[in-house]
Amino acid sequence: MRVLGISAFHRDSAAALCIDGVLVAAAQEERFTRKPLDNGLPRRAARFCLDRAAIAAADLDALVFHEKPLRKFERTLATQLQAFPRSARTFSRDLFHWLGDRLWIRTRLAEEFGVAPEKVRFVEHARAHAALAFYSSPHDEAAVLVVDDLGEWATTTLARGSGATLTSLEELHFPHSLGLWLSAYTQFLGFAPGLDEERVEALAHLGSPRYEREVTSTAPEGDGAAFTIDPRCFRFAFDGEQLFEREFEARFAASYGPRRAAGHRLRIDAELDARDADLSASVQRVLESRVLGLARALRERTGCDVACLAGEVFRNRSLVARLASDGPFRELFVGPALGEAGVAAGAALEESLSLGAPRCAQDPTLALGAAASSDAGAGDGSESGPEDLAERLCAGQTVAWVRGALELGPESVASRLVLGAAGGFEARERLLGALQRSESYLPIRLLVAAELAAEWIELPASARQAAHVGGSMARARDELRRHAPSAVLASGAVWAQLVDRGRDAELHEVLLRMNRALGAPLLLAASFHLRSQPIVRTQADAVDAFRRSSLDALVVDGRCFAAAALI
Amino acid sequence: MAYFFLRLRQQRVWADPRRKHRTLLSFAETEEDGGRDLARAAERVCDPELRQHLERHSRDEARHASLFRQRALEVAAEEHLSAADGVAPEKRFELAGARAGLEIDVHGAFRAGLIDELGELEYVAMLHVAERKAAALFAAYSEMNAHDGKTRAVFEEILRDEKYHVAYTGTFLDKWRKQGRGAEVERALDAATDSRWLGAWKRLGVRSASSFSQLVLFALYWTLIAPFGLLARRRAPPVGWQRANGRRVGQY
Repeated sequence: MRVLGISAFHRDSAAALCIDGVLVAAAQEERFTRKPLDNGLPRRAARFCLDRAAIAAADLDALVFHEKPLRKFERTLATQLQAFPRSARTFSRDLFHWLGDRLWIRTRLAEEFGVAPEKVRFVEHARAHAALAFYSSPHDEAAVLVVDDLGEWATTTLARGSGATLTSLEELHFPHSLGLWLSAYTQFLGFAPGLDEERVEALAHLGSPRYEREVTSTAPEGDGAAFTIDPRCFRFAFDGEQLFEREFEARFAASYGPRRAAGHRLRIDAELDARDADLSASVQRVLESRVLGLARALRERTGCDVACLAGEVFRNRSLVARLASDGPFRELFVGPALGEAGVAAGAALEESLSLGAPRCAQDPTLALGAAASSDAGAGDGSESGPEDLAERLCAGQTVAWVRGALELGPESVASRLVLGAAGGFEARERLLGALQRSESYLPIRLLVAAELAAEWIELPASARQAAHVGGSMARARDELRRHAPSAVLASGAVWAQLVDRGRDAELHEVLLRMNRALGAPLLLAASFHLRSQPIVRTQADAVDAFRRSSLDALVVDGRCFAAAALI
Repeated sequence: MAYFFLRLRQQRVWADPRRKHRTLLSFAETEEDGGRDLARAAERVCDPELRQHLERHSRDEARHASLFRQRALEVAAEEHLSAADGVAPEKRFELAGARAGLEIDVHGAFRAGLIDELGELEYVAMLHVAERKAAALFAAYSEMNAHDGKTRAVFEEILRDEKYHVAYTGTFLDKWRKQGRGAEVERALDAATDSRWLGAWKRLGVRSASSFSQLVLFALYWTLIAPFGLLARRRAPPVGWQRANGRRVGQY
């Protein structure tokens, strides 16, 4: 059973190939075209998946798209009509796209990918998210919570997974969407909606939620934890460009004032009344409160004490941490590739199982992309193993480490990392500065050897799986504040990723060597990409990014290249 | 004549802060794309001298991208624009960004990976034609921004590099001519020029069809659609939990 899943036209297009219930290849288009968040049809990613399995498109049993076009068109049309006459401008633009292109997606997919039209299938967007989270988890029974921005109608889904069956129980429908609500505030704060939500999360750690009452009024909770979005405040139901109404600005002008214009200084410290940080903290608080409500409702409906989390909104690590500490579940499983790329894999899994394939164990980080050294090299370099790497890091070098297959999703868990020693006040700035990322408020990932983590961070047991994929925040202990102050946010939270020998022996070995040399099994890490660029894929990409960075060394599949040799 | 029409259209772009902001950002994106493609090309070519030029060219494009982006940010701050004003249309929600089949993009730059599809000579010929055109356009844009010293300075700085790009690609084409590959060079230059015209023709077709269709839809909105809109307004969107429909994979 060979099924190719495709996601496209939203952001971060991707393709994933599932053979007999096992995901064998997955890749994002941006990693090939080097165009950030490329949302075109994933031609190169699909070609990579087919090549990896050495099959042709004609050999596929199905090609499955990540959403149902007619249902989505129905929603678009209905919401445009309901907004009459405010939707005059957006109606012609949206309908043009639908009538000119998107409605005929079956033919287009069949032609572009060379499959018979009857093999092109469609799966509901939320279901693709849920399928990836549940079927890639090790659990046989679990509650599944999908909180997303938009799909066809469903924005929030409560489901239950059992064996190879996933049953959707209840849904909240568009425009009541926490994802879009968060995007609207992201835009209000002067960032790009749909792209910069993590900046709002980061700012929240600097502020206090003094506007919680005002923010709550825009997304009040109703019966059974079903929230509603105030339509007088937001226009994302019919306008994808301007997400909030003028009335929204007017209504809250007296409390938190007007929107922040792009390029204007962020108000994050007391000198500028910390408005932006406080508003972010308020938004974060309300988001957590709404999702906690949803989690409790899901626990009640399913009776399960294990939950799989899926959808864009769970990219918010502070939210996952709050669910772990105050939520109703004994264990949380954060799905891999929570963004739009992941739905390609979810759609492929869902279709495979519906065609009768068995449910199989999946790679937990979806490291199913291209290997690094498939491209022409940049010289031989010298040999470099964990020992050499640890020595360089102890000496204060910043090192890019590229190895194995690239993961699907917005962050690299292990295969494309830049590393630096965690000690000192300047460590974070040195590492992110080398990658041309300069925002002082953004968190940095802290890698910790799993068996020694309790000495450095406080992490609820329910968040351990999430922490293994860098999907949750943790609380810093005093020892960590003293040793690695730059990794700890103002609120005392830290973005921690646990590393254990079983999952990643090499990285674990480096951490133990750091522990022996410096007395702390810690490293700072970031995905290997420059500002606003996709994560590097091949050795050539790595060398190019390395040349443009100020990193000290590049290690590709065990060969080390010093900066002086490459520049 | 062409300059007259260019001036007519572009003057409105540069006079409108929103359009200026977007255009500068899209230039930044195009320069970045071009830089990446040139870096890839530098790895593929055999001639070490050409590789050096392409590497420098690639670095120039990356620097141009940051110059354009920096200026776009300054314009946004000066004019109090919101983030949405700067987001490229294809990055916004729900918009398909595929421009498949177009040899060159809206600013006349090549789509990524062209070196893999063309040979070394053809690639340099394409570069030469594109850079010559870019130099002429940037000179015109610089003139149109006489009222805005900062933007003009950006174009002037980039223009200096463009002249170098035209010169080195021209030198290589001359070298190949002297090596007896004159016919090949002329063919490649003709093909590059033709593909620019073809690209421009296709873009014009897509743009006019798109504008006309949207105009028709706008007219329909206020005539045929209006009664349905008035009816739909009376029906509020569903609130609270909805039963999941339970449909799995299937047709549309």
